Amino acid sequence: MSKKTEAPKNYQDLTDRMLKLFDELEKDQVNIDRANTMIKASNAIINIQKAKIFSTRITGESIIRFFLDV
Amino acid sequence: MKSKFIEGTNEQYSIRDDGVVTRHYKHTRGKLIIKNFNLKVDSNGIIVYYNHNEKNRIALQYLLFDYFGFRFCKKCNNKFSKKRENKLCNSCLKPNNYAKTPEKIKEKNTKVIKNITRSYVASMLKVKVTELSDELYELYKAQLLVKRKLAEKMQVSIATFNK
Repeated sequence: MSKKTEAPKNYQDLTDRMLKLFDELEKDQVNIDRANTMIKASNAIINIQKAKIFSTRITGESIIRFFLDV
Repeated sequence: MKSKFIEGTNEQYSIRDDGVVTRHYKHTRGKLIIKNFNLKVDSNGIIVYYNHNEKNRIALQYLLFDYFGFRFCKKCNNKFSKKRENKLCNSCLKPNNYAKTPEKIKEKNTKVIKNITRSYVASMLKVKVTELSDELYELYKAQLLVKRKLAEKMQVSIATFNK
């Protein structure tokens, strides 16, 4: 059984948050642990996007969806 | 084609305007042998000729310039009429603006890394530039900026955030 997961459309949101974090870092208003967590989250998103690109290249499909095994 | 006798060789040698030097006759054991044959030019463009049993060497380009007022370009083999040490014509002498000197390469790389261009992001993610979507590019750019700032604050390498 596989369950289709909704593709989160929060890339733009994450980008905005990262830029906001950058501004806060410049002003020394941020906890470093929080920044590390944000970087890890964005790393995960980037890796998923990268995997999609590779999958598209291999399968020749224009739209790649990931399914969660239950 | 024009042909001129080379001075001082008793009209034994002549040069043609296409750069061929011909030996017309020679003395061998008191005999005069008349036989036209073309002299070989060595890899440096030097011709060996004999004058009263004395061996001489002369550059073909020098002879051409002396007798016909032009020489052949070392690079493109076209005729040109100026005496230059590097033996190159005007078109070959143009400065190469695209020369890849180590300083220029370093300068370009620094600019690309600082500006975080699409091609830089694509190379970092090991994907083609055409495959890189706008949102992924923007996200990676923002992430890289944060990583750099954080590495600067914590005084650690940026590689520590890739884990």
